[in-house]
Amino acid sequence: MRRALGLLLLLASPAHAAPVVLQFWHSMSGPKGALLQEIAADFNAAPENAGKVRVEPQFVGTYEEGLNKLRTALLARRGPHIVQITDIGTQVMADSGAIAPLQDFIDADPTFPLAQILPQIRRYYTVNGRLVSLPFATSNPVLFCNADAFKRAGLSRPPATFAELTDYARRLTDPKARTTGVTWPLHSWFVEQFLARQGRTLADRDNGRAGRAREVNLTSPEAFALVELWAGMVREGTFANVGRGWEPAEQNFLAGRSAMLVTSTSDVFEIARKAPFPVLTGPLPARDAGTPGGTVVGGNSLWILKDKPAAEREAAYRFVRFMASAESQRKWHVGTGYFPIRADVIARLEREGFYKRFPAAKTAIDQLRASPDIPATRGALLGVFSEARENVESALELILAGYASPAQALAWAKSRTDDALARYDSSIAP
Amino acid sequence: MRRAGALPWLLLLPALLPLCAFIVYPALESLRLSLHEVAPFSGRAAFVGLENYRLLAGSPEYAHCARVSLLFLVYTAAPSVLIGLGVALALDANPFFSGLLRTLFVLPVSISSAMAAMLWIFLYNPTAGYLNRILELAGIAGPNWLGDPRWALPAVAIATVWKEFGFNVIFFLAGLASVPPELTEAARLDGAGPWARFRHVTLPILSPTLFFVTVVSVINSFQSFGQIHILTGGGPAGRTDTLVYNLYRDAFVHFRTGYASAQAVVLFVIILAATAIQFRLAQRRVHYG
Amino acid sequence: MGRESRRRAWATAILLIPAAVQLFPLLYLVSMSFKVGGEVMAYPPRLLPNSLDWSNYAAALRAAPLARFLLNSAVVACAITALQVVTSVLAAFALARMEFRGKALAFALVVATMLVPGEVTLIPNYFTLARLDWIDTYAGLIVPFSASGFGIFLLYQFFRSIPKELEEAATLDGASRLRFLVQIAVPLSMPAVLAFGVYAFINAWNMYLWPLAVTQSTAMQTAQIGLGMFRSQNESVSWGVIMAATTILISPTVLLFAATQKQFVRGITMSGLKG
Repeated sequence: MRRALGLLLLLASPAHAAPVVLQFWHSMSGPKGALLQEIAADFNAAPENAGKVRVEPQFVGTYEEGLNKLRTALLARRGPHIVQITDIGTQVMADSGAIAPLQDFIDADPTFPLAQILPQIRRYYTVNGRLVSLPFATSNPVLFCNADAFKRAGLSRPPATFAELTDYARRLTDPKARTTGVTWPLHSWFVEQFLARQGRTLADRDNGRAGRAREVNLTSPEAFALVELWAGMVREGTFANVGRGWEPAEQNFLAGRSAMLVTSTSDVFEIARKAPFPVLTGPLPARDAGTPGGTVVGGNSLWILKDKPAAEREAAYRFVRFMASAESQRKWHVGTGYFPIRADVIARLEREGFYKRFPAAKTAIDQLRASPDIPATRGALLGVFSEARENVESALELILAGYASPAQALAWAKSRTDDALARYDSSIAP
Repeated sequence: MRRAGALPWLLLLPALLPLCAFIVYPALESLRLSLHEVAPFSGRAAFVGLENYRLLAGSPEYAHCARVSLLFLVYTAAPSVLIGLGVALALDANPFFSGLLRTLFVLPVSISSAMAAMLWIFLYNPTAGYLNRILELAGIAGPNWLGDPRWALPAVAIATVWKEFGFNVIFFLAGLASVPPELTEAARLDGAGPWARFRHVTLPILSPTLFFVTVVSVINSFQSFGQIHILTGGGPAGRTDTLVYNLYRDAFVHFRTGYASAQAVVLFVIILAATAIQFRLAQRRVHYG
Repeated sequence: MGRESRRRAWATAILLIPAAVQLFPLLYLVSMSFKVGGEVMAYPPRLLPNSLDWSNYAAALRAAPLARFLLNSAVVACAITALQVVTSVLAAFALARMEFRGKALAFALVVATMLVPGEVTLIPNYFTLARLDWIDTYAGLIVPFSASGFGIFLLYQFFRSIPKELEEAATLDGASRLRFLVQIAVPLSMPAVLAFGVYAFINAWNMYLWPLAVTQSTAMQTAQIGLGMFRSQNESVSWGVIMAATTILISPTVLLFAATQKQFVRGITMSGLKG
């Protein structure tokens, strides 16, 4: 009631009225959350906004919790204006019927810097030919190496292929010192990325981009190649399986107990700062030297919700455009490690010698730009992505613990996920 | 006791009103939704009859979750009742520093299961966790507690018992305070040993407390959520995927409202049955004053 | 005297190891909260920090308005506790000491509410609150929890064990039912009422899913959500800062609990249901 009255007053009064307040729900915790607040404050302080529009960022828990909160709020028509959603929520959001695609606003605004946004990033968030949301925080997996350990083992550059990875991991393992060659988190993301690196899509129908996906390629030769590489190293004792979550693997590497780590580039500055040894970086190893493939953009994007008065939607778009500005993107990249979505920001930093000082930050960008435009590197659109991930992770845990063969476990994960895909289709169908 | 007109209902009303509005009504709502398939965002519901229940009955994964819940019940409820009773008895024997010791035992009760989990996640950490450090100093190579399918459920159970048994200690202490010392003293003079005194004097008086603590421990175990959410997320390989955790994921991560509602109804019936059995047993064993 | 001392010594000895196990994680938490930089993940891990460095605490306080979160948690938890204690005492008394039609049904209903998994109520309750326009208000955080099946069940147990003779004597003296409740039943069951009060407070303090769903502004968020802000999200977090934030956020309940301990003891010794 009070809310409705406030709205009436807002509509009835002239320009000097109370500012439009935009609710912005996000999932950035820790220092990244603080930086996001800072960028939002920049927007509020800009002369064209001061006193007219105010963004109120609100932390809404993890990506999962945020999406759930959004759904609950939308059911009661209490959604925010702008919401930050994880990459894997793209299909669900596009199907929600609750969003206003970013493309609609861009079509009416020639000043939007669409051409500056790297095509590899744009493509991930393009559904049915239209950009649905603004890619905000984007990342891909990078191989981090402990340069001291490499020197001791007589190695000088990061491994580039599966065979080299296996070999290096063996040479870097020292059971007496309780150190292992390599580690990465037990996370489905690595399966997805290593599939793309081998040029294989995660799902059929061009990764669900030429119609809703019907099945996942978890029993493809490429999936077996990866799982056998992984399980083989665990069996040999050259891979430290420290379980789920992003923290434990990173910690294992930083404590000097694993000589190599594959993880998201979003931690690149943090790792460089915390590591008590020099760090080398390299792209994600390929199956063979010549395999065509690349990485998929990970991270999150900003969505505008449609169930708001036109003026507020327009203001929300102005905020999203601000988040895409060179200043915001630069601040975010330098402050976090996610790469900028804009080519001009990268070029400018390059001219300023930024990447000479932080070569590790460049690896991910080079890898991104080297990724060919094939369905595999556009990333999968799945309505049941979190279920797919749970299935993949359970299968991996069974395989790595030696409880099931790769064939059994992957077939189980595939059939569970395929069933879920079919079910999602029927629940969405009008 | 005499009949009391409208008074009892007046006394009940302030409690029954919110309970009905915020627990009974939502429960009935899930009963209704369990007969529907609900679209994730629009909330549009289509009647599907007993389809969700049929799916549940045919799901080996759901049967697996039931087994995990049962195992978790054994790993958590039994130790927290027994350790709680043992510690309360020792505290009741008036040890030195009894105030300090009592405080120590009940402190973890005041921490949320999520925050307690944050502590344990670090103790269990495979790289820098102190638990494995202690084992290492004893010459044992500790497992990756939360990542090893064999150890994850016991590890979550240890963190749960750590946090919860102090709660039982409080209630046992309150119950023990009502055991008249003259009675145990008389039994001792009659030549009864410590076990006989416990069995024939203390236990009968303590039985309402024991009953209460057991019922609550069983319900708590079935409804455990926060520590599983933070420590393992149901993994590894589903080894900590309890009925409630599975329900949470289906409802709030997979957005399968109808299916999750059917699970809620089934879970309710399971807890109801477990509680009814305990009440039935209690009728014979519990002595009220 | 010798026998008594021996018994006390035994009881103390038996309790030492479990007491150490209970205490260790908490001390380790505090120790971690002072570890900075690479110290946190150093291998082998060390028990004590290199120095008493408060920078993690400063960082935690900078990263989120913890004071505001603590205030919100305190308001919400106190209100819920007060409501639950009052509603539970009244309802439990009616169920335990009065005869009336529909009593079995009312009791079954109360016990049944304990069995409903909390997750189930979230979405329907959110709708109810949206209709009442209570989203993002203290009322929305408090009112849905103003009664507790557990509290009623617990106090029911205690009220039932009050000897009938006591009540008969009181009624002969001309005391009304309510006076008996206030002047005799509640004081006699004080340990249970206090224990339940603390339990209700802790549960209210520790709620997570519900406050996350119904708050929409930082000014209404509670301490548990504050902790979520420090939890890792596909990003490297500083464990030292998390541990500092955790220490800040658990201190109020831990201290409250340590303090009310004495109240328990007093309540227990004062009451004694020995008839």
